[in-house]
Amino acid sequence: MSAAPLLQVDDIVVNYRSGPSAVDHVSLAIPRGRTLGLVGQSGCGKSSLARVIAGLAVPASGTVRLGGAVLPTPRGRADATRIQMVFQDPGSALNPMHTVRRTLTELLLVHRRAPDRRAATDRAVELLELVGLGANVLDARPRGLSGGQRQRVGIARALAVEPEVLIADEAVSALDVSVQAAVLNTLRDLGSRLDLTMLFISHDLAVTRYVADELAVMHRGEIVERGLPDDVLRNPQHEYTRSLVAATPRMDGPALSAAEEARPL
Amino acid sequence: MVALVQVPGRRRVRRGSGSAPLLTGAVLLALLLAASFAAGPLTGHDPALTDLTARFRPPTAEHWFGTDQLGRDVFARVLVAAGTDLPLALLGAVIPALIGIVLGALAGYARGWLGTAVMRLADLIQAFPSYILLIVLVFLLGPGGGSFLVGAAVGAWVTYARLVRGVVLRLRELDYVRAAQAAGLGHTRVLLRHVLPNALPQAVVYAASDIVLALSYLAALSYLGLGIQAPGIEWGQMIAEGQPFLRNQWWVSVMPGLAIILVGVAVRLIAGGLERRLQR
Amino acid sequence: MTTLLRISDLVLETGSAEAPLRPVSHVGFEVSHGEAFGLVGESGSGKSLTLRAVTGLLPEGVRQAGGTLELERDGVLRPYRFAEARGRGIGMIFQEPMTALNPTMRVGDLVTAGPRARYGWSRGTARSRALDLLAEVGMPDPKAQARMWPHQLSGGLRQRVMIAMALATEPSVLLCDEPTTALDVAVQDQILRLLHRIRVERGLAIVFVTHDLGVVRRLCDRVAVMYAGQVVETGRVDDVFTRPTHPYSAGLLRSMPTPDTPRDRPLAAIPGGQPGAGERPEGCRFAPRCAHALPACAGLEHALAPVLGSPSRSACLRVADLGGPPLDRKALIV
Repeated sequence: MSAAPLLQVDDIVVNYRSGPSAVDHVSLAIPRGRTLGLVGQSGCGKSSLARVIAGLAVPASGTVRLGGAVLPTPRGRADATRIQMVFQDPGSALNPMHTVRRTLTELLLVHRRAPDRRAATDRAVELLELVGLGANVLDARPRGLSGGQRQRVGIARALAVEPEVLIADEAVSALDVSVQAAVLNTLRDLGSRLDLTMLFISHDLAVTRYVADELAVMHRGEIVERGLPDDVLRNPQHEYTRSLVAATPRMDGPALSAAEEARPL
Repeated sequence: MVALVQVPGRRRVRRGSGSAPLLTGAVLLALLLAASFAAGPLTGHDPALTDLTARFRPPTAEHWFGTDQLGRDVFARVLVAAGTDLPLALLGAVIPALIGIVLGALAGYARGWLGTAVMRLADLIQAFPSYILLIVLVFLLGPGGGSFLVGAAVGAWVTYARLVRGVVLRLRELDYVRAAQAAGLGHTRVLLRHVLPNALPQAVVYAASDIVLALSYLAALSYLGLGIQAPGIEWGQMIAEGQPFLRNQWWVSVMPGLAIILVGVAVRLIAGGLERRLQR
Repeated sequence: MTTLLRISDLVLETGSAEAPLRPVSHVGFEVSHGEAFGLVGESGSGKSLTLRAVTGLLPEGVRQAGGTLELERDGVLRPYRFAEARGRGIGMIFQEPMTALNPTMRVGDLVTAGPRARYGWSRGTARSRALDLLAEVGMPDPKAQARMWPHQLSGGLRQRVMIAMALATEPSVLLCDEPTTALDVAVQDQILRLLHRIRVERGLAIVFVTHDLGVVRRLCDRVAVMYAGQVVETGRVDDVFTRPTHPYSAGLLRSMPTPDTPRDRPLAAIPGGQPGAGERPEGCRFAPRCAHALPACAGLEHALAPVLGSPSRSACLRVADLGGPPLDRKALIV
């Protein structure tokens, strides 16, 4: 990973005033085509950081660089499309009044990714196929779609403007296990097929380890540990990471035993 | 006993489409409005024609709703009045709704000084009871339909502004609005295409039920002599004119009163139907 | 161990009486004294509704159309009345303590208000019981927290208050509806350990509804896996997790990434999605998503049946063919 990073975030500070939770001088970098997994519990600042990177929030200080150049805040229209986000809640991530067709073609037309409505629809179908859906959902509205389908439309929407970086903020957390697996596969598949650079944010260590090339652990607004996913899980250095690894229920892990019950709460 | 545990229950009430009540209400109002233009031919009486030999006739086949103290046909007058009352009530609800929706959406989406200014103005206006405000304004501007509309607009936009601002404040935090912003769509587009359409339903339902309120305000103004002046015909004014004879010639006041109730029912049907439809 | 709670043939319906939907159909399980029983399934599987039915707290529009619910009393299983059972035998905790706790009452009063009204405890008795209970659920400073309002507590502490409330009536079984889903991993682990300790100390039975297999693995002795309104497999956690006897349980276990999942291969996702109450296929409801389905699977309504050579019970017709222990076909109810 010696190549210059595509996305470089330097010394971001978010105060409680400007975001849901604080971010305390966080820097991170992702090389082109790689996926950084950011793990942390709710309120650790990972979503605030995601919003800053996506241009949805203004940091108190710090810069977001893409391909070496600092992205302005607020983002101009051209820069806005370069980093896109997939959101957590399949229930609110799509405009309930818009059909899938409209959700996708609106972006394609506004950003001139398609010359006319017809071409935009064709491109929308391509995007849907890319995320494992088909033309049959074009005229569906969000409430006619399952959670997994909505999340896939959310991914297609993010890809519509051909971003260089994709942020997935708890994008699979609200999904059922069997559906989550399929969406994870899609995300990973897209990452390699489109050479996407991804920031994958989740509270779930095991899920993040599976998709990420590198792992960063965030706690109280700071990155407390980073490294290769398996190293972090097998040999956590920071005390917080250790507690996180220990508390993560494992399918092959031990049941609660008499010994554990004696441990202080 | 106080409920200790509030069971987080899922609402599974199935709602109808709302088309039937919506249609019934709309047809009622349309019929009433149409009848107002054809009051003379329909009833066979000139609503303005006085006939002192035919004063206070009770309802008969000839005069369905009887005649008033000047021998005018009450049915014809009730129908003609619909042509005054309905458009004014409609405008009296729609104009403030439009003003309030626009200001509320701006206040909610832009926040900043604009939002503050709008909300301060709303606070100021809400400090006065809306009916008092209406009477004072009409008193200053002089009686008539135009003054009524101005008075209604000044007092009633506040509710819509608050309502829409509240919804917009909530919507702008939703992920799909964020996604639209993150995708570089302009603010105007995000507001008009993504925020406002989802904020409107509640305001529309509210405006529909507000038609009745506007109607009752208009009737009340006319009753006080501040609304529609003769030779214009209006239900409140008719009620006022008939009031001295209420004991023995009840139909003079009661018939226009019933008309107001009918409009109330029709509007309620429309509002209820809209609500069900938009909440689906 | 003797059976404490028995649910048999539970059917729940919604919609009109002529064309009802059945979010839960013919669900049954037994829970023994002091046992931790997991009811696991994805959203829409009917697991939460089943739990609600046990306490009679069904949401509006859902009705019990069949089945019996029995609770042990004086050594005999007998049908119970909900109001009675909620006050004594059955305690319940919910997923979202934020909304499930009355915000207008102080924590100390909340904990004992139920039994106070029921048994006419004096103020003093109630107070000292409340402090005992708050200490039992591991509140760091029971005296101080008894005076607080629910909103002043963190999510984890609120969940502890819920548990204390449920324990106040001295239940013999505690029903838990995803009580740790909204919590952070570390806090979730604390709550699981607390439940485990209370269970051991009090000899309390626990029914734990969750979508999280890892949580079941950690807390429960036995488990029932629900899919599309039915139990498809039930057995000891050790058996079900290591040798599942239903393709759905197996698929669920495989599709969940663990810290050891190979990263160079796609996850073993189950294609498609769970059918809603109105769109369930004839016969085996999992068949359309199942890689092992045969034409026969679509024709038969399968009931749970013992599996030869395994303590688990499975609703899969093909257990024997799938490399698992053979199914006891004589016991298959067709």
